Amino acid sequence: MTALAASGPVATRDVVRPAARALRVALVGNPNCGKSTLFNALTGRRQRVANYPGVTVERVEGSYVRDGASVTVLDLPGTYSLSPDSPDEAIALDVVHGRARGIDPVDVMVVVLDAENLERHLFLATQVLELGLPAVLVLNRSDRLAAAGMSIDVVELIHTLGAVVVPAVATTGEGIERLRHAIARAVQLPKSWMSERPLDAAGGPGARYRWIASVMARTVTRAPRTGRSMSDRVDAVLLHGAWGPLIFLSVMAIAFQALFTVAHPLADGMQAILNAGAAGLRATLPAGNLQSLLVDGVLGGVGSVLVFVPQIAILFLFIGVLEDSGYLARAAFVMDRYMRPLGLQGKSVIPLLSGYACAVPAILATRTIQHTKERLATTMVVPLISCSARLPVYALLIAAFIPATSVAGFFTLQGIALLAMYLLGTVAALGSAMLFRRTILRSATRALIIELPPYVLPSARVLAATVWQRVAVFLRRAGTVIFAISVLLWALESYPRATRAAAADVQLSQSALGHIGHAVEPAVRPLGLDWKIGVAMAASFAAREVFVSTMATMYGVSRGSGESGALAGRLREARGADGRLSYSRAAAFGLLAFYVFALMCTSTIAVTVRETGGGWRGVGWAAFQFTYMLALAWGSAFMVYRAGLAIGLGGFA
Amino acid sequence: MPLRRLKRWWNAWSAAPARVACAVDCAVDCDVERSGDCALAACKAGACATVLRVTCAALDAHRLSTLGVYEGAIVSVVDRRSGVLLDVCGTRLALNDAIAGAILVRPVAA
Repeated sequence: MTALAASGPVATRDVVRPAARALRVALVGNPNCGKSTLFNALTGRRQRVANYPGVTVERVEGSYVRDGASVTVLDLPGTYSLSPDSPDEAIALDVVHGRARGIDPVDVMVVVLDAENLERHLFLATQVLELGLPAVLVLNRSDRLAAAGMSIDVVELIHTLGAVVVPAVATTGEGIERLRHAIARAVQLPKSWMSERPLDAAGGPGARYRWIASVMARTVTRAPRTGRSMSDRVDAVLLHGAWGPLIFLSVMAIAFQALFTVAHPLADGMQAILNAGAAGLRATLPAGNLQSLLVDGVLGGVGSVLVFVPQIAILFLFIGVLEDSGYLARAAFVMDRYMRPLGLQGKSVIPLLSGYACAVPAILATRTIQHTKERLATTMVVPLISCSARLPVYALLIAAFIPATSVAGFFTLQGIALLAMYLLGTVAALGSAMLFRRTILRSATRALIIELPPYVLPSARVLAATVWQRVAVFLRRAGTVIFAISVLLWALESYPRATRAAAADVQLSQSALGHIGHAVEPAVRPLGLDWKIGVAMAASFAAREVFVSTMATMYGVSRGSGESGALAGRLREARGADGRLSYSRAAAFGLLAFYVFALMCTSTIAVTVRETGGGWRGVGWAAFQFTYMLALAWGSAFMVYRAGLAIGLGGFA
Repeated sequence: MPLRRLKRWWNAWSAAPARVACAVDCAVDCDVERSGDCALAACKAGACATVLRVTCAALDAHRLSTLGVYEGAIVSVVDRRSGVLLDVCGTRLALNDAIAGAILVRPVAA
């Protein structure tokens, strides 16, 4: 490690520095110090997101031009100190020490301090100053000092610390120009005296805090606080033992309703535009391979990527509002007690609940969980929660095989069956999480230590930037894979070509996908199913709802309105070559169980690969996820089918 | 009858496990160094205390110290209903009962 560092970027820092090289600046600061807002104010729209090599920590970079020279700004993850505690903080540490792989050494450190909480934030600042790199301290939110009855003697602070201190207000842009000027000058200024006399030498964090307290006494005057702050009064309700979780669940319920009512029309609108494009292509191009490739392959592939965009944008807008307003920390604290017995933490609730809408944004949402193993466990079980794509499959099979017999007035057997599907998925997800955290993802339970930042109104600019970053990352990393897979599935469905003008069901059964269906028949036979289901299962790897349209094609039901109702009837009466009913009720129940548990979603697999570290590591986790869910699905389908036969559900009454 | 059982179950579930009846500000419930010293978990809302010792895992103790809970720090308890909500140099820090039980404090007059 030491040898590597010595021969790596550290050694080259002073040797190779071409005059024209862009100045590199790193922003460090505690979480909740307004660092992202400051980053946005400094760089504007010129930003890009990448991952640090080998880990899933975001690397956000931006740039601005000053006096004709470009300045690159690296926004480091929020950290309380310069010691490796979580992966985020370890990255910040590596970058600061110039030993992060693939990252050029930093020329100037900018430490962002919340002026209102100077005492706590100076802890990190003094550690950074001790490194001896050129550094600029920013007193962010300095406009709030007057309202808080505080004043800071900035000149005294500069003298005491031996470093440049710039008051600024990131939300209004005040002081940003001064900060840019200070950054440009920082390289020429002498090092802070602190780099020669580190405070830690005297003895631990206590010594550092005692020194900071003496600095505070000299530089900060504070009017005595009267009464409870607004945040405390709000917290008195939101952190209540009973009300807290209830309020949180209500907030989530509203958010998911918004997800459905806003995202679905947007997705439908996009689909309509794509359909119009498809119709245009059909009209202009002659029918044939090229038309099929462009319309069903390419446009279909684009559609399968774009359909996720509104959901991801809305979910991250919502998470952004929760996080930036300060509520997410409270929710994590309040829900922790309920998630702890499962081996998860309070923050796992958001991805798990998002899973009811769609596993893809839900897995992206696990990024708020800092602890690696808890995050992995959450990622592994999220796809077990019944997402909205399973609903058409449930609806079709329940309509076909479960009578609408009324039970206790308002409720029917069909409604109860649907509820049972959702419960089954939820229980399986929570149970698996518990199992994983006790076996392969075992770690000592972490103590719950959360800082609750004061409530603030989120900045629209930061929110917009966050949402755009998320969508861009999804499109670039997962979108390309999802697109490629949908085109591949189109090819499997369309080739080899059957004789000209063959009916759709004949073409499907003779295609490569049809052959796959036949090939998997031995695997679905023990479940009481036939090759046609095998084809539909294989096709539904693109997205589960494709099961319905594939079955419609197989049974010659025209696509479009009323497809599901007519198809349900066909399925119920379908007969095999021997004249016997194709699907018994027991087999249908088994199939339902299969769809509750199986990971029939290439988009989820693509996102899991990316979010669990990418490369072979990510592929390994995704393969594990797929395999355990398939085993669970097949096993429970088999048990349900056998149990169904045993209690006499082998046929129809 | 089932309702009563449900209520009992709910109380057991939602009650803080390490809640200790407090006579004055703090009850004597841990390895006592001096009469009055106690675990942070035993302090009532509104109490002010000096941290004497942090006896949890080293990593957590380190994290606590970077957040301002170090030996010698003065903290005050803001809320005590779910876990412990602390005021540490003006910031709010939420701890669960397990970790608050591992912090030995000496109450001081607020």
